[in-house]
Amino acid sequence: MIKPGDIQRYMQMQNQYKGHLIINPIMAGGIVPEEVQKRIFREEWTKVGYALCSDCIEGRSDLITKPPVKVFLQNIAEFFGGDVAEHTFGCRVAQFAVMKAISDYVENERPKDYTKVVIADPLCHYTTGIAAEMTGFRLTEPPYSGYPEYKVEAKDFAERIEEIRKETGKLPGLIVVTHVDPYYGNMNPVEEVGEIAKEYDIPYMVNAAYTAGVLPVNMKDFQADFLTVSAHKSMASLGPLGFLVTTYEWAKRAFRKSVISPEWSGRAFGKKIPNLFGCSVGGIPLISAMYSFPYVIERVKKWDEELKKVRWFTEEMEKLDDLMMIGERPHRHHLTHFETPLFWEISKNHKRRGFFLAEEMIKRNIVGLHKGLSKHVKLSVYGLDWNEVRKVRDAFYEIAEKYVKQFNLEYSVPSSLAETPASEREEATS
Amino acid sequence: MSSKKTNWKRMDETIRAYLGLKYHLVGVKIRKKDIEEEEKRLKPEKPLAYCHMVRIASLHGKTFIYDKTDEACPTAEFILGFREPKYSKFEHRIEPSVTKSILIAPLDQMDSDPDVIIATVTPKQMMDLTTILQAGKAELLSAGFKGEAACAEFTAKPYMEHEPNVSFLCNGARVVYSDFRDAEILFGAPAHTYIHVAETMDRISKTGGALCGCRTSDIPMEIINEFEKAGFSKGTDYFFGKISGQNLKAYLNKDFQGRLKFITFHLPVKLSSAEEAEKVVKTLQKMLVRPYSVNRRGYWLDLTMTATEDELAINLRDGESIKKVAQEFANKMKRYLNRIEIKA
Repeated sequence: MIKPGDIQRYMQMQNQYKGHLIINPIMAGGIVPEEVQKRIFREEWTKVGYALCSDCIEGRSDLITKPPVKVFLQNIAEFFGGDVAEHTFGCRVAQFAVMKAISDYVENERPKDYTKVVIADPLCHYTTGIAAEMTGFRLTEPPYSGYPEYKVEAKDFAERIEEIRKETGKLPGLIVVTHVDPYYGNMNPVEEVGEIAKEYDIPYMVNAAYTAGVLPVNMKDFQADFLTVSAHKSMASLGPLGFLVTTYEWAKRAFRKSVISPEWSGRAFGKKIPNLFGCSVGGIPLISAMYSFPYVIERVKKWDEELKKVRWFTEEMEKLDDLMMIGERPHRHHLTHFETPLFWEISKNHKRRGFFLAEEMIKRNIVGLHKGLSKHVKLSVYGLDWNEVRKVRDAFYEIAEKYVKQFNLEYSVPSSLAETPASEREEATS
Repeated sequence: MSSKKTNWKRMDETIRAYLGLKYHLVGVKIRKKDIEEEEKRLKPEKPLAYCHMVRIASLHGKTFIYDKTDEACPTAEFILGFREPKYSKFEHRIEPSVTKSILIAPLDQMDSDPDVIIATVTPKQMMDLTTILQAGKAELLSAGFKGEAACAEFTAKPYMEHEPNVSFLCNGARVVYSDFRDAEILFGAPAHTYIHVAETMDRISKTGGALCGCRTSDIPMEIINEFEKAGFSKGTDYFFGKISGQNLKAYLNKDFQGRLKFITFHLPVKLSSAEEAEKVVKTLQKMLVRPYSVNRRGYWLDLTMTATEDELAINLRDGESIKKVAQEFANKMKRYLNRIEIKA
C-alpha cells in the first residue's frame, strides 16, 4: 500500500542543488543554456509529454516538419559529417540500434564473412557492453597500456581482428571505439582504427557521447560508418536524448522499417523503425536540443579555450601533495580523473568517511563529485568561466588545508594560490 | 502495521528479488493452541494435505490455520506432531506431538514470527541461495532427504534441528496431493537462517562491485588483501600507498590474452616543468637498467620497475613479500634521485 507520507514527500520534493556549480563530467556538456531553459517554459513546451506531436502527420517524430524536426535531423547529420541522423532515447539506444542492425547483417546477409563478435576499446562505456549483450554479440577488447596513462593503440585492434579471424575463420562484425573514454578522458585513436576498419572492411562505430557537441567531430575524418551521440551529455540538452548518425549505406539497415503484421487483424506499422522502438522522443528533450543547437555550433569553435581551462586546473590540482591526474598527457578532454591519496587519508580520519569530500564541496555550492569516493575523483570544469574554475580549485585547497591541519596529517597544501593565466585575468576579474 | 510485519515483508521482497522467485516465501507456525473462533474463517473448506496448503500459500498468497481434522495426508499428521505414531517410525518429526493447529501464510503477510520458512525454488535458485548461505564457510551445506514424507524434510527437520534443509519432495507432494512441478524443490529453514540470507543479499546488493555499480578490475581478492596488508590501498585497477615515505603505486600488467603477467612498481615524481623533466629523464636513462626504467609524462617523471613475479622474487599472495620488494624499490629510487639531487 502506498503510504500517505510518500505522497507528501513527492509534493515537497525540491532540487537541493539549485544555483550550484556542476562539475560532474557526465553533466557538464549537457548543461542547458539559461536562455533555452526560459524559452522552453515561455513557449509552454512543458505542458504535455507529446509537445512536438500536435502537427505530426506521418506518425513518426523524426518526420515532423512543424516544428522542423526533419530539417533539424538533416542538420545534425551534416554537423557531424554523416548522411542521415535519427534521434534516439539516449546514446545507448543509438548503440543498440547499430548492434541490432549489424547483428541482422551478419546473420542474414554475410554469415560466411563475419562472426558475431564486437571489438571495442577496453575503456568503453558500460552501455556498449550492454548493447552487445542485448544483441547477442561476444565482446572482446584490445589491451590498454595500464597505469598511469591507460592508452589504447590502434595496432592492437588489428591484432585482435587477426586473432578472431584465426579462431573463427571470419571477421568480427563490428569495431567500436569510444572517441573519449568515460574513465580517464583519453582520446582514442579513432582515425587510425578507422583506417584498419576500412582495410579489413569491418563496420565501424565511434561512440562520441563525451565529445560530439563539445569539440569538433566529423565522422568522415574517422571513416566511421556510425557515430553515436549523447545530447544530454554533450549537446546542452535535456535527456534522455541521443543521435545515431550514419551513412546512406547503413541507414537503410539501421533504420529499416517494420514489416510485422499481426495474424488476426492484419495491421501493419510500416513507417515505424524497430531499432528505435518505433518512434523516438517527441517532447522536451528534442525541443531543448533544437533550441541549443545554435549555441552548440558556436561553442565547439571555442574548444581550445575550454581545453586551456582544463589544463590550468589540472596543474593547479597537482600542486596539492600527491594529487595526480591519471590519463594521457597532454590531456585532450574536459573529463579529468585525479588520484587523491590526500583526500583518502583525510577520509580515514573523518567521521563521514569517503563522503566528506563531496559533502564539503556541496557546502561550497559545487556539486558533481561522486559521493563516497575519496581515493579518486572524476570531474570537469567544462563550461565554467575562469572565476568559477578558480572557485572549484579554491574549494579543493580549502578542504585539504582544513583537514590536513585538523587531523595533523603529513601533507602540504600550497599557501599562495595562483592567479588565472595572464591572458584570462581580464575575464576573471570582469 | 507492526514493525515485525514490515520486516517479514521486506525480507520476502529482498529474497524474492535476489533469487527471482516466482512464488511467495511461506511462513509456518506450529501452534500448541486450538483454532480460535475468529480464526475459523482461515480453515480450508475441505481437508487438504499440508504440502498442498504450502503450495497454495506460495502460489496464490492464501493464509491457512488448520488442525488435524483438516489434514488430508495421514503421514503429515504424524510428522507435524498432530498425532503420536504408535507403530511407524519417522526419522524426523515434530516432537513431542502436542501440535494443536498450524498457521501457513505467505511470509509478507505474517503477523507473528514463523517457526519455519519455506521457499519453492528451482535447482539454479537453490544454487544461488547456497552460495549466500555458505559464503565464507569452508564446509558444504548438508541436507537430508529420502523422497518420502517430504514435510519431514522441509518442515519437521528444520523445526527440530534449527538448521536448513532441502527437499526434493515426495510422491504425495508431486502427484497425489499438491501438484508441485518437476523443476521445483523446497528449501525449509528456521527464521534466523532467512534473516541471515536477507541481510547478506542486502549487503551484496549495496556493495557489490564499485560504488557506481561497475567492476573496474578482476584482480583476485586474495591479492588485493595482501597488497592491503603491505600498506597499499586499491585504486581502480592498481594500488597506491606510502612506502618508505614515497608515494608508490603498483600495477599488475596483463598480457594480450588478459593473464596477469608482470608487476610494475611505479614512483611518480613531479618536477617544476616539462623541460626539467626531459633533462632528468635523459640523465636517469643512462643510469637505470632493466627492470628499472624512466619516462616523462608532462612535468612528471615515471620511475618504474616492471618484471615477472619470479624475476622480482615476489609472492603476490604474501603481504610481507610485497612490502619488502616495494620498500627495496622505493629506497633504490630514492638513492638514484639523491644522486642527481632531485627530491622525491
